[in-house]
Amino acid sequence: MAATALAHSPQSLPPPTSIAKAPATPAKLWLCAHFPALALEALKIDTTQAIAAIATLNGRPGLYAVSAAARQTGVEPGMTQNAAQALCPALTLLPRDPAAEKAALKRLAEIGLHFSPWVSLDRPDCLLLEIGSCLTLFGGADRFRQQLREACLAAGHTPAIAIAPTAAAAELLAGLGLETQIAEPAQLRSALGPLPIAALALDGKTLARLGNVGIRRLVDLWRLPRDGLARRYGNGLLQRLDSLLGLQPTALNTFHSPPAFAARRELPIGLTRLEHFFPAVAQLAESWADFLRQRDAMALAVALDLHHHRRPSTRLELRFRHGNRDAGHCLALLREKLERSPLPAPVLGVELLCSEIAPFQPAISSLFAEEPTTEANSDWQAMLDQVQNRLGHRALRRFGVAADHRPERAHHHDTTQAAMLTVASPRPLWLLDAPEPLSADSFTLLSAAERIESGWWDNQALRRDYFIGQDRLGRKLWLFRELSGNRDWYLHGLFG
Amino acid sequence: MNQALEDLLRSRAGIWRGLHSDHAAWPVVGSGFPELDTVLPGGGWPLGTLAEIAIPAVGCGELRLLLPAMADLSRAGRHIVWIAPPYQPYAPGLLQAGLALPQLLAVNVDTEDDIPWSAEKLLRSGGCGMVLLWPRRLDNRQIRRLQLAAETGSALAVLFVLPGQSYPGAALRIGVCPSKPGLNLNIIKARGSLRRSRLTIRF
Repeated sequence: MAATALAHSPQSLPPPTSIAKAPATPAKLWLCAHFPALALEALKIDTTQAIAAIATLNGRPGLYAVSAAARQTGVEPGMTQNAAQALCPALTLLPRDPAAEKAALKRLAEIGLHFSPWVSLDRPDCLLLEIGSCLTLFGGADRFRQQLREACLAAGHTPAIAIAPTAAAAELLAGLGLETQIAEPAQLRSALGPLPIAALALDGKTLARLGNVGIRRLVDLWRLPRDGLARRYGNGLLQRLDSLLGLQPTALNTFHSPPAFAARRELPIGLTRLEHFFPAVAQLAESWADFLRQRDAMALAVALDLHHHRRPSTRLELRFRHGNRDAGHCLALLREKLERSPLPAPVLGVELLCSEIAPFQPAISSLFAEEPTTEANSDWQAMLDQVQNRLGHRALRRFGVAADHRPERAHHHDTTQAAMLTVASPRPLWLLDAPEPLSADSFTLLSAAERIESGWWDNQALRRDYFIGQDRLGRKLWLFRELSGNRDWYLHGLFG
Repeated sequence: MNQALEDLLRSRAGIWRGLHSDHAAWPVVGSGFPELDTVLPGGGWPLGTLAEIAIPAVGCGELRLLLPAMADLSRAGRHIVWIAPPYQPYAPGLLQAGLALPQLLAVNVDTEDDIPWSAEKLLRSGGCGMVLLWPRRLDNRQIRRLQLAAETGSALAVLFVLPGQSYPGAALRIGVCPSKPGLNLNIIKARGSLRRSRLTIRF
């Protein structure tokens, strides 16, 4: 797509300054900010170096995005890793991080909300802003565009910004890197006409068929009769063309920034004792619970900041195992945490912050009262919250089995996935983190061999003969002998 | 002893009856080994107490001794908690022993002080059936607190102690030693009984 955009000369488009005076009633005008290097920028590394993001393309790993420095050496998106590294030995390859890209786009959408109330994230790598209604506040499209660009650059992302009366046209222009402005719907045909049809994001087959009959640009398509076009190439093409011109309405979802809670209370004097300033925290927690109830939401984590005089404030963070909006529970956890953390200085103010908010899920109770009461269960969960907040979020481990023959992978700590035990031969009660080498004369064997030979498909293959043995202390051991290499003995588990 | 005398003795609260104490005083969970149940006062592991199992080394059969009781408790919906276990408890083996895996929980701690703290929290909650601990040191006050927490939550707290350690506050003390057919048990102390007995159980 980049190549076709370069082939097309932007001079034939109307110059950016050709925007006409805004009509009396503001018509819809869409701005699209496309972030061509989002995949690289989201990785938070220096994008001026030769770097590339790798993703799975058509079932095999390939280059998804390439920085400008790498592009100069001839590396293009879609190449295999080996080909790219042959062209540019200094190339840094990193896996693409779609979650980071999504988070970056969300941050950009928050910035967009400073400019326009209607921000949409429906299109990939793009922000779509409806600006017709708010253009006068910024003193014209040029200034609007300039201010948005500066805000995006400050956030570390380089946008290509195009403005058009329809969202689809703005997206098309921005996607090609053409920073144009089209003010009137009547100008759309002439402005979009010279663009290559490859930019329409049609499937390859349709594109090839259109190319075969000599259709290269959008203007060629508009010259053809509509009914014939629909009969030959399907309705999809026609709808795509209509949405470009605004003949076909498109519905876009608006982005809303998620709610966040922050409340602060100043204390009259610096307080050092927990029981003196804790009532202020309790008031904050009550308003936090109200805030969540009003939005039918629950919090996944909260943070409490203790402000001091001329000192960085102390932050206490709480994370709930399940979403929570109970002020009493939150306070009990905060008190537990406060009692254990020494205060560096008197507390002048307290601030409760909560940004991780999810829709509320009420407790589900059973129709038949056979199961343990939910109250007892919620007490248990509250107690586990307390333990976890003191010991850290990795302290509590659940038990689960996985359908894998390799002993190391037959258990896990995630109870959301249930699996059946696939083996019938006895398994130990303890498993060593790493097998310990064992000398062959320190044990006697009690069982025949159980061969485990598995895992060739994910490069973690093992070939072992497992035995039950007994050592001099009389302990029952689970041990194995490597079938490859020098056939050493290892201790892997104990029967406890 | 005739029935009239028996009833009379039973009706008075202040009489200590030595070996013939009334075992209905505390709930128990069957150990799964009939020969052990007959020796233990009340006919099983006493709930609501602190038990100490002295082992020569980790892994010499002490877990298999507790497995039937753990399986019963977990299937009854009570939690089995492992605090600071010396190795990873292995879920496939535990499942084969008949334990309900959703009821199991392992707690890993960073500091020694967190072991009695978390044990007390979990015991007191009432949701636990059994809490297994591998402490390195506990003072008498902590032992006492654990004993009280176990009583509050009606749970069995099991301390596994290595040679050289001893906690006199425990209500039940058993020394174990692996032997050819299974495990030799030496019941050093059991609340509600003055007998010291030795027996062998087979796995």
